[in-house]
Amino acid sequence: MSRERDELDLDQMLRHNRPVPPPPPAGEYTRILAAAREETAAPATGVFKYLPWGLAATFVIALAATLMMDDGRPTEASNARDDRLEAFLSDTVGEVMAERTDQPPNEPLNNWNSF
Amino acid sequence: MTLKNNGGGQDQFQAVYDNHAPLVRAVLYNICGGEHLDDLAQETFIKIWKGLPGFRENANIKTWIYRIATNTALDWCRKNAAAKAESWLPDLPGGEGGETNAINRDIVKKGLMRLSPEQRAVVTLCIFEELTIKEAGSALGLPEGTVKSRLHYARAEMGKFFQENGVTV
Repeated sequence: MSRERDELDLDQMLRHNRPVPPPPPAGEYTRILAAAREETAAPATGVFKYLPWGLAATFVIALAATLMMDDGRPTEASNARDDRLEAFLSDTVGEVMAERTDQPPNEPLNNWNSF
Repeated sequence: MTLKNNGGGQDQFQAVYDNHAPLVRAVLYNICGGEHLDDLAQETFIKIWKGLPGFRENANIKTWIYRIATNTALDWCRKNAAAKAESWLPDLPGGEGGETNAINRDIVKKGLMRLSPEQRAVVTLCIFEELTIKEAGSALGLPEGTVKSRLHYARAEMGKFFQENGVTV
């Protein structure tokens, strides 16, 4: 109880003698409003200011990545893939051609002469 | 106070400024002192300007403003840890109470200087601004237990300082 009483007395003393800030300078609101407007307008300008640099950097990175990937020539992997594809195609075509040469010539579907 | 955002917001901002500028200045002054008071007040109101469009109408604007002001003050104190709040300007002459009060105010200021900025923030909100522990916790983003603990140590420190200086409370 005594501690609470002491706290209350201390709070009351502090409250009664609290430091008082100096009044705001004349025209503070106008100054703050101008600064606030300027600051909220600033980020948009900032973004657009760096946009061309951003685009240029993206282009350079994309170009470098493309050149590094195939270096302007077919890679070993793509060569191997092409060889396999060519072998597959030539085998398939060879088989088809062989089948066609083994078959007897087609007979006409409708032999009108038999009538 | 109810706020309605119409996109422009200048009328709302002016209303907020008119109603809360003394509160903002008092909080900043009691935590940081007077040397940078005008700059800190501007910084606080710019944050309020930016946050006003997203402010929920059903929220307590006073608590929100207390939060912005105390955060601004504490951020400044952290960045300027070397600069103690020794820059409190003398109270204006002719204030309430005359010479005795001026002496007492001076002692209170010196006592506040002995506290950490976090303790000054709690003293400012709970004692000077008469917020409840819950409201102060909400404004400071702290649990109630932490606010109580800081307030307890701040009171003890102030009491000790007053005793050392022969001030009877």
